[in-house]
Amino acid sequence: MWTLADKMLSSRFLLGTAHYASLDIMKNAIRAAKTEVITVSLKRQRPEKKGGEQFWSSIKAMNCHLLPNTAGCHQANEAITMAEMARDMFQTNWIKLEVIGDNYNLQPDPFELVYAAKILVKKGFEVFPYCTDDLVLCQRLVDVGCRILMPWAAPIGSGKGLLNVYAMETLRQRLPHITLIVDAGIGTPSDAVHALELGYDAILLNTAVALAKKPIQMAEAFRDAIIAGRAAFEAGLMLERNMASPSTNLVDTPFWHQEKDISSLQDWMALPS
Amino acid sequence: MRVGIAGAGILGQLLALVLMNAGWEATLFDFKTGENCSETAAGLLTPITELEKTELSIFKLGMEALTLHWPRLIQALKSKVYFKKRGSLMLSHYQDHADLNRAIRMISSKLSNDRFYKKLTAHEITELEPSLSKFQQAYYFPEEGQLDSQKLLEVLGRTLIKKNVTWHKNTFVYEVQPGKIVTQSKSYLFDLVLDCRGLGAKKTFKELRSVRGELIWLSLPKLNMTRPIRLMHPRYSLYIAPRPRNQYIIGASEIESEDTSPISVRTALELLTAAYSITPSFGEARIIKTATHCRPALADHLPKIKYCEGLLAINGLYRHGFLIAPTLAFEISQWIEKGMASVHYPELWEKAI
Repeated sequence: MWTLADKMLSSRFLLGTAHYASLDIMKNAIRAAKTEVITVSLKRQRPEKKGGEQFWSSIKAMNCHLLPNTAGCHQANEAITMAEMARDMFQTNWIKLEVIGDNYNLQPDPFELVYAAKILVKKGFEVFPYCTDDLVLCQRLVDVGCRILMPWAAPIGSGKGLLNVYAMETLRQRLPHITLIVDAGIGTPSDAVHALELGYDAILLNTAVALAKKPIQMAEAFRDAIIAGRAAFEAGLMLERNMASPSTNLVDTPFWHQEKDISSLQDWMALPS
Repeated sequence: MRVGIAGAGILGQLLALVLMNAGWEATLFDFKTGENCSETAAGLLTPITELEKTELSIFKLGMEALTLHWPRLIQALKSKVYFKKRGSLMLSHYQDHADLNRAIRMISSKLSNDRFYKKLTAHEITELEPSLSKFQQAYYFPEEGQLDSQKLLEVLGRTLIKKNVTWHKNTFVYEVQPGKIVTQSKSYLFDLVLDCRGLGAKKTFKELRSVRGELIWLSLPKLNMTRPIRLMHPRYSLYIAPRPRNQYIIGASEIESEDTSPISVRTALELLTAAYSITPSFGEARIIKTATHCRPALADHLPKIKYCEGLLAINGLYRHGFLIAPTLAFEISQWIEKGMASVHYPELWEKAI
């Protein structure tokens, strides 16, 4: 079990609800993923007229925590209005804050994002900001009151995996008490494993499952990967070393050969002897 | 024998025709005549490329309609209806090739052989469609086609009237029961009732929901694009459906909403930008009109036929109305004539209590 914004959860797999070939496939993928948090978008549904009600009611029936998003917003003010609408509609103060800076790769606009986050936190929202992996941006988001950060691993829908592992490790080490969820860029279950092994708290993804040939099977693959990645992190990964070193003397090799072997290996690897 | 049909979209009208041809006396009811979602369809007959997002059963229903029913029906209507079977193209801009390849992988994973499509070189693309000169890669689906769905509805309506159909236009149907259709003013009794009301039949189909679609009609006399084009993109897939007299329908959004308000600026921008990016000639096209419709969709995005004595309710045609309606009409007429043993698509049928 782990805690996400004061809620106890067992799954570390958050799933998006876009791009599925049908509603049934989406529901079955959510069930297969054993996910407890699903995102929901309302921008294009004319929320003020409750245009998307039929879709939302089937999402609500999944009995997951809903994480409404501000997808499609390009300005802080727009995102704030959308967040307030989502709070009324879904009876939750959770908001996945997306303020898009670039229309093609959907890269977040860090300036508008921090501004919107600050106001939404003041208004009592639990803000889940979708951000880049920039340390200073993440610190600013924490400064304005975010307890959860959702840095990308790579641009949305790119499936490129963890593009900047160094930056992601830095975030984890520098923000140890912040809940870190990788949002966007995860292409394969091994990407998810990697992120969890780094100590990230959870994964949010959509495209990799929704557009797989068999989305339900892919949801299962990610579910298991995420469990494995977390278990590995908790178990403590072995430290890498540069060469194989026998832990005991090799009985089949005389000691003078053993020494020579090591020194020749050092020559070969150009290591200082 | 008398049949009452609630809903005069493409399926309701086709059923009326097929059953009248079989000797039935038909009565149609429709609420807002000329405003159902069939009226705004683009008329793409593309069962293979649809496989990107749908199941094999839509492919089968669509192929049957395209190769068997539409040619026969259009010939029987004795009026000229634009119907082409010259293939379609699926393509993407260079930076979006991953989306094109994903779509092709999805389609090929559902088909047992690859005779349904062919990868084209840049030269082959311009041989088929000279206006697509900026594309280096495309896939060609030689068996697909398109029809002028608005013209077809117009001719079909005229034919039904000529055959003396009884048509209660602009009449709201309150309730549909076995052998009975109830409107605001009275009840009508029939031997058989067919419910083809789409989103009007939510009581019968609890999971029915609406998926909004928005389209733009363009006219561009100097362009001569003859085949439907699908453009794959990371966030939306768009098509251009050619129509007679150098008109083109650019569609369509897919929004989870029951909202029939006019097209949004965002969709208009997306559709027009996409059209312009396919060929800048569209820059001088004229916008004839925009259209919005709400597609009736079930949770699996497949059609369903609920049946009991005296009543059939057909729904969930989603974005596949013109693609599959003639096959469904034929399937239903078989059931009426010869019973359950004669249906070809038993997976669509569900016995209602």
